[in-house]
Amino acid sequence: MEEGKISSFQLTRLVMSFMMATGLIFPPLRGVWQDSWLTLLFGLAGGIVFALIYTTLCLRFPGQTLIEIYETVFGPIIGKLFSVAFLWYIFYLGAQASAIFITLLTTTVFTMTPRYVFSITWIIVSVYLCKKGIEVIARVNEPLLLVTVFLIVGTLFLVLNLFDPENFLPLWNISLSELLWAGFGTITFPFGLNIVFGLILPFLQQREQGRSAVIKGLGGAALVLLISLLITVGVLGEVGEIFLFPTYQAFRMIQIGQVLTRLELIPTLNFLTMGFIKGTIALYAVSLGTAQLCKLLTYRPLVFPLGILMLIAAHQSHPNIGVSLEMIERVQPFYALPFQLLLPLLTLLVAVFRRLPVKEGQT
Amino acid sequence: MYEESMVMKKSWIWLCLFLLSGFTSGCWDRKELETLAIVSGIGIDLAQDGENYQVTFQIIRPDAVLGGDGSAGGGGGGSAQKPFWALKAEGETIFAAIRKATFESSRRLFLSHNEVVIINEEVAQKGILPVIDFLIRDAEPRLSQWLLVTPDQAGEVLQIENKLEKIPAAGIALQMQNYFATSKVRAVSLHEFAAQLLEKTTANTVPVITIIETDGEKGLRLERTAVFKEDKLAGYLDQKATRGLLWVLGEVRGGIIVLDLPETGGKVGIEISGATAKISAAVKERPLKLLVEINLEAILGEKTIKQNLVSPEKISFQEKLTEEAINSEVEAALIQARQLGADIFGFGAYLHRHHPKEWKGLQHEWERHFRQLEVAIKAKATILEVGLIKRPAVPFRE
Repeated sequence: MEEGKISSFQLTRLVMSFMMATGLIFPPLRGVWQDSWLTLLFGLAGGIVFALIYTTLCLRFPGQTLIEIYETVFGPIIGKLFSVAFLWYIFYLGAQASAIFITLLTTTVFTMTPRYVFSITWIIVSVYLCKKGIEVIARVNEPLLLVTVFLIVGTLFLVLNLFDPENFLPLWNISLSELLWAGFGTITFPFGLNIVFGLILPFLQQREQGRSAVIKGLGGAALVLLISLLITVGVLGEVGEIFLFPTYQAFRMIQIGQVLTRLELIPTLNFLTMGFIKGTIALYAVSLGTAQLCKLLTYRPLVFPLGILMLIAAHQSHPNIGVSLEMIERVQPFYALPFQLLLPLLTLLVAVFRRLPVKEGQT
Repeated sequence: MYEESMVMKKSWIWLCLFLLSGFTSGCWDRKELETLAIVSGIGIDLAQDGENYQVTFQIIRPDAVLGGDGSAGGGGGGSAQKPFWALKAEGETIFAAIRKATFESSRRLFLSHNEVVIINEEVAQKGILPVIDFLIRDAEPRLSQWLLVTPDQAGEVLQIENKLEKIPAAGIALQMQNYFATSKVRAVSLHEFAAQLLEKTTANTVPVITIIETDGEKGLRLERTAVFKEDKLAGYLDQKATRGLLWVLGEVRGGIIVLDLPETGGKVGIEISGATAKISAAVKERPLKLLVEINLEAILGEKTIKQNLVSPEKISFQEKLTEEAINSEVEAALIQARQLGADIFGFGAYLHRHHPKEWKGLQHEWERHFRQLEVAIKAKATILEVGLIKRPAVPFRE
């Protein structure tokens, strides 16, 4: 199925990339622009709790992915049903990520270019990378993550001359219910998305380090997102909230002398780095999961057709950014919760109740 | 066998690379400089029917800008081409007008290098949200462009040549950035304007540019400040009140304060070298009391009388007069703002940020509270320098 092995540090960086990808350019705000740093921390805490649950599950069933675990715990029929729904969810994530990034490119820089140009080139490279296996994905991710953090976050510091701490006042400008709702949303997007790594954890060299690696990755991603959010809010002020891509706007504001200006192409690079990695991980997870679901020997023949389907889904299910916004802000919290929290939790409870996995010699 | 497959593999790679190079060289969104009409200024008027917009674009003529000196020197045949072209187009909306301009222009209008947006008074009275919306929604225009209001036709303003700069719109932008010479103009970028539109209570201010005529030649002058309530023009501040506003905002960077000396009838020019402002509020009291503390550092710039004014007592007397002058400027701004019922100072935003609890009770009737607001001004001026001479140029023993 998958012969490659990745180290725990590589896993950490994969988690970081996956969490940062859309968040960096399209922060989930839900009307709490000024206090988004607070909801980000809230989301991190929730994401860690979610991670604890499924990593416990993965540690309990060493060497099995979530798909296999569901089947072991719930039996072939119910387990497969759950798995199909779960795979659909991951498939949809990949499609959503690519739709958002394509919108970023077509609304900002490439206004005349057809959308398919981006999605087709993107899917070709993604399919190629997926076929190479998780080891190659992890290795490709390393330079791309470095580039993103240093180029995007590093360049963002150039806008600090416009930073105004007054933009954060008043500090607690939201009611508790707003905070809970926005925090809940931030848990499910982006932090809860780390459930995808339930399909990748078995390919870790040191299995017992999986949990700490995922949590470190979440922390790292939260730190980068926090820096970018603080700078964006501080620079743009209240007007930032009306922009689709606030980070992009903050880059447009950069003006150091008459020389360092018009650097707005840099955040769109995020499409080539983090967006690409996110889509590839999602595609890889779906292909691998489907192969395990159907008990295939290898996932590789599935990558290309699933990639094409993902491309079509990206265009069909996200015809415009309004749909993506509605989805992320209103629907996704409830839609994602079963897959991110309820299903792993239920599986864990049933596994404990049924005393699974059966240890050797007990049967 | 092995070698053959390697060769096959290699040739495949070469073929792929070759094909790829064909795909990567092109780009749908390439914008060649010679196919673009670079817009440096946009003027927005109401069309004849009073419904549509008439938009004027000041388009740079690159060859005329470059060859300007040569042709002026040669001066041989024909009239020298202006380095810009003012193109007019009408449309139901701004964007429609921009696209309609291509009926007359051989090149597509390119807005990324636009520097100023000049809005006619009538358009401003109707509300400029439709204008702002396009400018911040579209990918081309930048948020750093300056906004201006004019009582004249904006189209006419963009026709007027600048005496020093080849591109008049760039000249206007530079004119605005010279505000620190007087601090009587408040330059506002699109970003700041949009940001304040989102604040519930703060009224926007935009500089006013008018056409003047000196010695038969037309020119442009910045004067007054237009006050917007929400996105509609509500009235004007004069120059004195504009600096009053800048004092409160802490944006005064320079300028001259002319003091009338009592008794002697002479005048003293105090040069501002820097100022800060700090607002504090007594929120429990009704009517609300605000305190604005202004700290000024200044230089004795000039004087018109024979007496020496450098002695400590004289300097502290001038400091006192300066403080009074600041008070009267801020007072003027307050009076004019109260008349308009427009919170140009952002006092509401200040209360919102620093006293959120009390603000909840105030925000719904902020205009009424603002009119009744008691603002105490505490100016503190310090004269740090007196220039290069220690006494005036009069004989030593008179």
